[in-house]
Amino acid sequence: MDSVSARSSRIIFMVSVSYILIFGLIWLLSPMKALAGGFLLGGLISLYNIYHLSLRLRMAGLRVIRGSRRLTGLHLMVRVLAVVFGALLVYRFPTRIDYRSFVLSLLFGYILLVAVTSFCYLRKKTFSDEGGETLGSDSESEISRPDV
Amino acid sequence: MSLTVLAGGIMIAFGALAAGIGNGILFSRYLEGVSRQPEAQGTLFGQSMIALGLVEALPIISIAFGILVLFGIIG
Repeated sequence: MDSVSARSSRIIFMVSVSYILIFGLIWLLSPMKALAGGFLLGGLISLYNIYHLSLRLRMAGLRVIRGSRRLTGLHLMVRVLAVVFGALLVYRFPTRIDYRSFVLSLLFGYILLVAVTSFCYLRKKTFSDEGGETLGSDSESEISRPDV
Repeated sequence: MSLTVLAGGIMIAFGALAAGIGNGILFSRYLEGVSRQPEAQGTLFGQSMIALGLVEALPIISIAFGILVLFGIIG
């Protein structure tokens, strides 16, 4: 795992733990239990989906590097079934889980993943690791000749 | 068969189809890249995660909406 992936994983983990804590507290303490329950369930399923996706992708890459002949996939059906499970819970407990907040919060994990990873990559591109200088400036970029 | 059931079925089917095709193309390119250049696995992993997140988010929402439509919660 390179430094960008490690940093983005750390940020995603911290944000997801805070999300679960916040909505868990709202679900426990406030009267809006259905709304918070929908956000909590959708967020948990979404976070499970992105962690599962990351795990399968990493396992497949390592398997290719090791030269294993065994085929592997991303197990998309597992993630789809997790969403189906959440929708079935919403169907079973309509008074305790709000369907609108459930569907909205299904996007949370994916938005978090794309935003944090893109931010980390952009930051790495903007600030080089050596001196923190910006790429794209005329005099200090990689394409400038050292003798000029 | 009511039109609501048909709508829910179409949403689920096309959502799953889109996710399958998108994920398949991206995953094959990722594996191709890793097998060509194993030392770039870390970089390819991060970029593939961004692309997979973009590709997979919409079909997942479509499937969730489809199930809710199918069970009559929406629509």
